[in-house]
Amino acid sequence: MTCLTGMAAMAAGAGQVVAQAAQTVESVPVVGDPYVAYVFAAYISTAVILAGLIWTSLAASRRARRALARDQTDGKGTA
Amino acid sequence: MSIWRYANPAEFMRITAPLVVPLWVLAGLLIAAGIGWGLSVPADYQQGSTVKIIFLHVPAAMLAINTYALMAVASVIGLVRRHHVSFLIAKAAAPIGAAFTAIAIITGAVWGQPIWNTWWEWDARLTSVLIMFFFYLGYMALWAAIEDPDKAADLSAVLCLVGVIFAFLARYAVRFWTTLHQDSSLSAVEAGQRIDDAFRTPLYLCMVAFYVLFFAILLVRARTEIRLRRLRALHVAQGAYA
Repeated sequence: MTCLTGMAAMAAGAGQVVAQAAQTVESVPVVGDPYVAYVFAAYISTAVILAGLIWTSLAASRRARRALARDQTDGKGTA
Repeated sequence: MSIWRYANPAEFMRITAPLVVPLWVLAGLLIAAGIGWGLSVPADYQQGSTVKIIFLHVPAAMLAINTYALMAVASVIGLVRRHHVSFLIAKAAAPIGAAFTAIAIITGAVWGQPIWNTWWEWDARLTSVLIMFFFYLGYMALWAAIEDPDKAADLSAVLCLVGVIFAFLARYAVRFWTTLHQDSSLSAVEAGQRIDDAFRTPLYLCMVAFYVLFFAILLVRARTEIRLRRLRALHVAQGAYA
């Protein structure tokens, strides 16, 4: 009986040690940011889409302005 | 002084000319400040650093829906009052709205993978935003497919109005159905403040920055459309007198 009680106490003690060890592992800070790749992907994709939109808008504007200026100087009319 | 004088293309070009460069400068400054601030906020206790994605996702999603609303209003004005500038503003806004919708969908997916454990879900809001994106594409395709600009303007405006229901659903789906996407974090709710000031203030700055950028691009595109219309008129006149 005494032996069984002693074994139970040892088991309980071992469990406590394991729980403490697990807690210690959980509290170790993760090295680096696990989400940095997601943040990077979001910002890069946004930058690419906005850059494309701005580039095409300004290029179309430049083309239209030049074409209008050329046609007006050709005497095709007034704008 | 009537607001309808702005519907005159020459008047519109004259009034907007001095606004273009200041808007671009302001947009650049605000974007730099907003994004810089957004990237420097601390990690959220639940979302970690993915919280930094909201500074792109929320303004882009707002603009995606509000641009469609602007197009719908411009289309109604164009159809009722026959103002070409209204049609051209709707046409100019469509690619911008589509771009912001694409940004909202992509950044939402990139945020959803680590937080929801899925890139995509057929959730009410996500699905209605995707359908709205297809309406943007369809609207642009219809403008491009019809040669007669007046007929293209009318038919595209009707298509735009048909798609309004999905812009409405994209905005309010989270209130009608309880699905995966959470309700708005910024709206006044009975539960109180849902977002900490550390994130709220830079988010507001990013929203203002995106709106200024939107108007800068919109002005450039609308002015381009007016120039192209003038050019077409010149060519038609030249053909008539040749």
